[in-house]
Amino acid sequence: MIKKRMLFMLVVLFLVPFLMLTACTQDTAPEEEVVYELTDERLTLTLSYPTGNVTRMRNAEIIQQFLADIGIEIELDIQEFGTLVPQVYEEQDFDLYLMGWSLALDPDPAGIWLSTDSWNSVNFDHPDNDRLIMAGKATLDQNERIEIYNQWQALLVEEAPYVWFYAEQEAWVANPRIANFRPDSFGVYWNVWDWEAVEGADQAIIAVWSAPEGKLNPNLSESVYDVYSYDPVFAGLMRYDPDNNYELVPELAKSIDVSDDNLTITFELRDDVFFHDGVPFTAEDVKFTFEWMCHPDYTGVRASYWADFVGFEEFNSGEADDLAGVEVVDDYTVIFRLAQVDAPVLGRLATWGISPKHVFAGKSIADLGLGHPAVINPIGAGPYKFVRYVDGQFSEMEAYEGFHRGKPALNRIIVKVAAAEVAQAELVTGETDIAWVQPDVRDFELYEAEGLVIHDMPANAYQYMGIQLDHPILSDKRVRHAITYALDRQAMVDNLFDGLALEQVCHMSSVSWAYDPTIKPLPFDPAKAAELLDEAGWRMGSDGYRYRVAE
Amino acid sequence: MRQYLLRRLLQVIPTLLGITVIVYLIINAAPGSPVSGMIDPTITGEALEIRKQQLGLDKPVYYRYGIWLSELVTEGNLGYSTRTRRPVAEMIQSRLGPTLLLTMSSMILSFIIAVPIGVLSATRQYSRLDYFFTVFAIAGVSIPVFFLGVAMIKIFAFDLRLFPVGGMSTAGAYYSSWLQQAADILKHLFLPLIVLSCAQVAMFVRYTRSSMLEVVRQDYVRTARAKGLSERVVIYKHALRNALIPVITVLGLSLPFLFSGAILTEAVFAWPGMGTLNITAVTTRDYPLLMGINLFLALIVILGNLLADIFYAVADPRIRFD
Repeated sequence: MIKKRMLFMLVVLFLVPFLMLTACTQDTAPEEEVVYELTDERLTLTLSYPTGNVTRMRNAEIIQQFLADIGIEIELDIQEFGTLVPQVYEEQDFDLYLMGWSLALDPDPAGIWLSTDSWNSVNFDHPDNDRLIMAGKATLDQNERIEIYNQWQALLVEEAPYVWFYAEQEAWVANPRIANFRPDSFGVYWNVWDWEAVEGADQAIIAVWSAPEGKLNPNLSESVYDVYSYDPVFAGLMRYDPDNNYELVPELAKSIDVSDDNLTITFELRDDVFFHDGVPFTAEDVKFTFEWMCHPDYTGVRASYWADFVGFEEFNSGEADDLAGVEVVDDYTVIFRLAQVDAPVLGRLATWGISPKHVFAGKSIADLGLGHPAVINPIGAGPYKFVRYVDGQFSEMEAYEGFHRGKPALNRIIVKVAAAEVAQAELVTGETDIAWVQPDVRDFELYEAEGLVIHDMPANAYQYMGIQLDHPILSDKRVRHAITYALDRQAMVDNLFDGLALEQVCHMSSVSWAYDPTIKPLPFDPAKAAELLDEAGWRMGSDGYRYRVAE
Repeated sequence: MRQYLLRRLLQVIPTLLGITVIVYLIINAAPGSPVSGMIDPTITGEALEIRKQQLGLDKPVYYRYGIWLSELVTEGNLGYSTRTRRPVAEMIQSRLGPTLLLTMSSMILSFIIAVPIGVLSATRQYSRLDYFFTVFAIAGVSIPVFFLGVAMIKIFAFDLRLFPVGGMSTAGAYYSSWLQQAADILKHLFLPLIVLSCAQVAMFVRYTRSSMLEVVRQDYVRTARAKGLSERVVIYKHALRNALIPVITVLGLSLPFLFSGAILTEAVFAWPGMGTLNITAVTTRDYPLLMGINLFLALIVILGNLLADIFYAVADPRIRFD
């Protein structure tokens, strides 16, 4: 060990004078000294970022350092989260900003990147961009979509509207007395039916960091904490099978049939399914679930998911009393009709949790959005019955003996509210069985020493820096490329996360089927960055910052 | 007295009205809106616009204030939270119990502990005992709650496992009797109560001590001693009553704290009270909930001051209302 270090020191000792020498000789023999006259316009940009995410706040300082190395001065502008969000997405008032995206199971990037969409905060507008995104939505063939998205990502890397940094890992820590707990990047409950309590336990206590809002229905919920609190209560017509490339497998439906043009989807429903209150499940419940979201008085934010249903406009505007796109053929057959192919819609509608019509029938759709008891105490046809919700404290679910696949093995699930540190401590004391934690190497050692099981995986999300494309300096692609070349993502992953993160190359998440490892980012290359800035008319001044070259 | 009360109560109305106007303007002037927290690329801009309309955010501020006020006055309706869409009154009500349990018990406990200590400190000024309590008081005021709280969790919950880490009750527990439930809640209450009381005891000790020191130098105390009364009677019957007047003022001023919740303590121990509700309301720009909480607290402040004024009269016969 010591020998190795000595050897290394020796090599360094010899190398340093050698390198200095070569550098000096280059200096003394300039090819052709061009003297640029510099204006007093310094290359200064403001980097806005929100409070809250500590690693992101530290990353802002790392970025400032890397960019200073190539002569760009960065002014840090830290803002409260709720203040920065409208500034970025509504007013688009920024030079550079740091944020993150959580992605969905379907890789369709339209919501973030379509030039007409409000989340396209950087004003990225390129004819090929919209064309490729729309083409990616218009087919259900995965290989074809991968092809299209590769072209689209190559365009993004070239145009550099973002600098992508890293995808953090997410980690669930679980007590081994809950067997078969297998969370993945897309969810925690997908195999809840298989969970089992061993070693004398009969329930699983899951800690979540914040209290749910009490919108305990898939049609209304807007917070992930609500989803944790109700998800096993509801079942969809189909479910995803993560063990099998996320293919759809039957749940409340017996079969699915998609027409050749991908516009008509027919479900044959099981006739042996009962809601938790004993009422049989039929095609009417399916239709009601979707009519609720398309209704003019609907209070949630999911209506746009179904805008491609035939007759959506007529029903949504109140002209029609019936949503033509969802047809009940008989009690156990339901047909969905789409006006155009939109790739994410199939998976969404097939897996959407079905609400019982009889519980909500006769109630005003608008009132359902205002803390209705039927929403706070949900009834579904999923593997777990909802028992009670105690505001700010916990919600409780109980195994449903009438579930069509059989009663789940685990008797009770309790989802309780506990701040991050409380949850961590409780995992160790055994007061909590399962919790989502911030990945941290030292914490992981502690959990392992206590015999807890760590499930860590790349998150289906990424952190990035948005670049204002309408900015007089940043509209120059060379400057954007220079910024990208100047930032070392691997250093960020190593310094901020001790390696518990992945470099993010472009938009697609490494956990998505649409991810293609052949897409390459612009590498870390400060020399190249300096060269590009020189080219763009920003030369190094005597103070180490760049100034605009006089005409 | 009755006339005085009536006058004070009537003054409450314009004061409250003024407070609501100012608070409404301030929270609406803060950047961001209730929908700005909804960062979800699957939610379209159109859906967000509809949400804004549903929440009335497309209307000017004065118009919204008018609606809020008229709903409140005519129907007693505090409105619906923009985040949870549940009635504001119901949300406040469900968090008030846990908060009062924590803050009231801490207030009572600290008062009971602090007053004798303060008196002792004052009557034996510059004794070792006095120095000990002074050091304790300065330490108690200086140690931040989040540090003390986490330290207590580490020692008593994590290492010794004597008390639960957080929460107000065992999640998902069913109780066979109220006694069992009370025991469970007490067990959860212990650590936050100690942490919260620490700073308060320290504060009350300082007030009682300095006020007592002042009173024992008064002529009437000397007279009482000259009459040959025992030191016990002099201190506890004659001096303490007057010494408590400033302490009552402080108590009255801390009344809103009882209801607003101990934000840090609640956060550290995951206590489901008003503090956490308030914080979430601020970060999510939940205007109606913020208005509800602020109106409620303003009312408490005003009534707290009124109560303190009345208690002066009880404690100090020199004070008369007319």
